Amino acid sequence: MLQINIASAIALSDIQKKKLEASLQKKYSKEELAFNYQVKEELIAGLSVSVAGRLYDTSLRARLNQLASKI
Amino acid sequence: MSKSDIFANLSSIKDSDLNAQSVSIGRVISYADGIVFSDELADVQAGELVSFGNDGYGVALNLEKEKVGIIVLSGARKIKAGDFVYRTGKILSINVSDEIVGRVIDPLGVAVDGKAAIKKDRDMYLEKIAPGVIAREGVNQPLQTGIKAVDALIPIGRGQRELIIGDRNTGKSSIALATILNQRDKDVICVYVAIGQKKSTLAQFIQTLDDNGALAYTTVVSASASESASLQFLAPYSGQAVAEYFLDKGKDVLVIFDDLSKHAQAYREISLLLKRPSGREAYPGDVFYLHSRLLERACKLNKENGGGSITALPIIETQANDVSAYIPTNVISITDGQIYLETDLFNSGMRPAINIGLSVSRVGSAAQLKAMKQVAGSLKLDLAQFRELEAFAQFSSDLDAATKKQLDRGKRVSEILKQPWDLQMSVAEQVLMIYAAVNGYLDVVEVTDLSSWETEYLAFARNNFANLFKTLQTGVKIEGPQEEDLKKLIKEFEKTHPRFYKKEA
Amino acid sequence: MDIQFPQIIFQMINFGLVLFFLTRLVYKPVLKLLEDRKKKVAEAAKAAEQVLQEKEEIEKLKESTLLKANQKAKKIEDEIRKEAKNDAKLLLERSKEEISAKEAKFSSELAKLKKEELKSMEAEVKKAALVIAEKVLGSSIDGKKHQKLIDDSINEIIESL
Repeated sequence: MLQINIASAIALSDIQKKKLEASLQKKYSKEELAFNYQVKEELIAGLSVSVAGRLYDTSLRARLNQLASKI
Repeated sequence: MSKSDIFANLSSIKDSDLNAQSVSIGRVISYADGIVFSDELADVQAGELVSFGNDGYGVALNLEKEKVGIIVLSGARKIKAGDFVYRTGKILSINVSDEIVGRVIDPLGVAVDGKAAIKKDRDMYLEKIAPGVIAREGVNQPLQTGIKAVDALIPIGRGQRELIIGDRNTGKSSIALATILNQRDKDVICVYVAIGQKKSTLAQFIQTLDDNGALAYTTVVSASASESASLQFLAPYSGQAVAEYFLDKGKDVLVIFDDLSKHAQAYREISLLLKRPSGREAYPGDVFYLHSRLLERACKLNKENGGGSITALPIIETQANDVSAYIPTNVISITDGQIYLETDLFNSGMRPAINIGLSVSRVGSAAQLKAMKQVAGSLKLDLAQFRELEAFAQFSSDLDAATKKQLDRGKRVSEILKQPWDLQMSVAEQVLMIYAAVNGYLDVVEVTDLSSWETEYLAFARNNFANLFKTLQTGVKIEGPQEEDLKKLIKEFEKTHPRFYKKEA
Repeated sequence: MDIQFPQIIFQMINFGLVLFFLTRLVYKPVLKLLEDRKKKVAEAAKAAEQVLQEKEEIEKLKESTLLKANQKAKKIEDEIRKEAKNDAKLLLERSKEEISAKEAKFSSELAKLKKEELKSMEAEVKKAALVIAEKVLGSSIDGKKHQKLIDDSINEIIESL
């Protein structure tokens, strides 16, 4: 059973959720997936998905952090 | 440095490309006593730096199937269960530059002496494989400690590892301090690693270095007793990394680890918390490797590799003079000799409290100046014979003349080996003193007068025989003309300072 | 008047006895007393003379010592004055040297401080830039932009999966 944590800056709409779940299900077709949605304001905008020891962070917070480490 | 230079790299913001990449993460499943266990973190490397966000960093040490054991280096207070643990992809390293000399840093390279931040130059790995056999050269240059007993009888060369071992309060740190103070104007960079020491002791040490102008060529790596075991564990490796930065530039470096007993204890603490199996005295199985990989990095490189050297003086504290305990025997077998300090000698006034019989330098006279080698040979013999006869010293009135003479000579030779920790003697001064002692010129002086004899004699020699002084300072072999000068010097001193030579009626 | 011969003899003997006893008991001691007194007076006179002589000698000594002491004092005073003048000169020279050495040290330290200040300013500027970016971006995102950003994020994530 794979735990997937999705954190977003504002609550996701059902359409968005369905879209995400579908592609994740495609990737991890063999496992049973459990989705956990959280609203975290410090992400400023966008969302971050963590699954199976990997983090896909496309939030604005992450991009700013990247910028900070570059300069 | 003009303003435009400093702010030049700010414009690189324009060119940076921000994209979503996936990072390998884990979550904190348990956190206690400075150890974090994290799940996932699938492709982390052993010894890799991991980040907890918010300036929290740790090192992944235990890689297991279900979890990863991480020791926390910084940001300990902000870690919560369930927090993300991010890989950084970097092996633990410390950033070193030329400006690090004269500063006090923590094992992560951050300045802790309240002055400005240290410039960044090169990242040096804390864990590194020691230079191979081909890159090395035999130890052939002396490292002058300024202490007569050491430089004459247990000489240390540049690139050697010499252990300083003894009970508490026997003067181990004082020998290290004296050696650092003597490296002024000798083009040797010193690194002093303080592991598990009291901050007050370390502050006093640094103050002493500063007062004597030694802080200008010394770096202090501090992991005092209130720091976490992880930092105490890493401190010697940080000191070694700083030394290797200068080694790569062809310099001679002196590294002092004070002390490795506390280092082994910190490592034991970490290993037990990481649930690694414990062995003798509860130390983990790889406590020998802990010290051997550290001390093997002290070496003398040959000319093709820069010709630099790192001399290591590790310090070990024994309990009740037990050199056959686990850690002392380990480090004795790693180092190229030991300086053995005894409490009995210390309490009876012999300071430095070096037991000449049990101390050894396996590099020996290969790294000794020729002049010193000449005079020190007879010194060792006199001391050895004196030690044999010492038991009879109580009956000195019942002995024959030859034995009595030997005892007198031995007493005086032992007396001149005493030296206060803040008095460094140059090569010329040492050669003068030892020459006078082994050739019997001190036999007529009272034992209690010897220290004032020494001061006045050396001042007399420096003022009136400046040429001889200079020749001896270079350390070349003492030939006929120098011997003549030496004898003349002593005779003149006898004439002008009769108060030492009062004959008993 | 009848001069009786035994009476005369008796009187003569009486007189003789009285004379004898007087001489022995009175005359001699009184003389001795007078002699003693004369001796004492002579001694006292001699002692007084001696004392007078000693007094004179002491007076002479006193005068000569005083003279010598005065001379010495004057000599010491002169030396002190000379030394003080020398010391003042040395002090002046030394303080001049110290001042110029301090000046050199201060100017080099000032240069070093300036460099450090510029470096720390760089760090502050970087921090400020980031905070500004955060604030600006955070406040400029309204509901529609949020949605768009989230849609974009989802697409990106799906791609990188």
